Amino acid sequence: MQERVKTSFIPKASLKIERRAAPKGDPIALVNLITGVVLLVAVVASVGIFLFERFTIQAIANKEASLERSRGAFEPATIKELSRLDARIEAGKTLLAGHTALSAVFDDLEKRTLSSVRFNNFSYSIPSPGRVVLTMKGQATSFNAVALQSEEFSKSSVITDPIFSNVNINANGAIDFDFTAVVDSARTRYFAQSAQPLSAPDTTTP
Amino acid sequence: MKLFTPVLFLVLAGALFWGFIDPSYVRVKDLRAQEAEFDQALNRSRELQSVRDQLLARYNAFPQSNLQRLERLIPDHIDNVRLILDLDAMASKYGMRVRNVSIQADQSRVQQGALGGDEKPFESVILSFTVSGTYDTFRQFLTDLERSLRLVDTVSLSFTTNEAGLYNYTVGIQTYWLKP
Repeated sequence: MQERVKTSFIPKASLKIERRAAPKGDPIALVNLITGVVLLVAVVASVGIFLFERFTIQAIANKEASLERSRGAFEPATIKELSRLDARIEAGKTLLAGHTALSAVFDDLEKRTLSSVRFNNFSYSIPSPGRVVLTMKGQATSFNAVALQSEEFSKSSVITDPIFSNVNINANGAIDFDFTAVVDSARTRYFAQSAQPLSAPDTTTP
Repeated sequence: MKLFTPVLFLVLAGALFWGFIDPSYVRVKDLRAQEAEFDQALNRSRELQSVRDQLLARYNAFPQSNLQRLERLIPDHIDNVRLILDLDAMASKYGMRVRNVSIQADQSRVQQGALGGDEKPFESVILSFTVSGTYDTFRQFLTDLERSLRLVDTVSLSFTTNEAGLYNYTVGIQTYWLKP
């Protein structure tokens, strides 16, 4: 018996599904990509920093020129003049604050000298800074007059530490004496006694 | 061979970084610091300009006559010849003449034992002279001296009386001028 031809299109064996494995990423391509990006970043950064450097240099040049213009606008001569005036005003303040008026000593002496006493020698000096010494020689009609004069000077705020020494009777019967005192320089300040310090006439120049 | 390209990329990137970017970054940092200093200087300059304008406005508000008086109060130089002439003119008002003028340096700092630079903005000198006159006349002269525009301080005075009433006064005055 003739073997029947099997004409079925249906394969006997089940069809093998040949599934190709999903193509995995090419590692080389990935590396290329990453290194490409790194290179690109490097190139962009290079261009950026180059431009930024140029920009900064230009900005500095502009600011330097601007500073130079400002320096010129200051007019050094004007600044010097202002600075000199400031120094003059400050020096003037300092000197006027310590300016002394010897008239205060004479005013006090005239006010306190008794009619029975006279002075015939006067010396005013500043032997050391801040210490003003007054030395005089005088005559009095009696010892009592000297004592009264001493008492009168002790009341003075200008003439301090009054000392009478070498008190002797002279050939005429009058009493000779030496007098020494310390002048309180704070009491002889110009401002303390005059309300118009610079109103002094320009005629009294110096 | 496949790795040639990425290696080349990396080498180029590295070369760019170490050969250009890094040194440039260091330079840019220095430049930025320099720029910051300029900014600071410009700000200060603007502030100073404002202060200068204010001071200039105040300076211009001073009457010229007052500025001249200030210059006479403390001159720029000792100008002792002018001072002597002025003293003589002042004494002449009371019929006195200035004589025996001498000048000596101010020794106060030496006496104080001061060392180092003198920080005072002015210099001083002591000028001694003699005048003759009555007590009342001298008192008037002394008052003028105290009130004179050129600042002088009487630092010494001595005289002896006599029967004639005309005394010789030896006066020491300290006068000042602004340091250069």
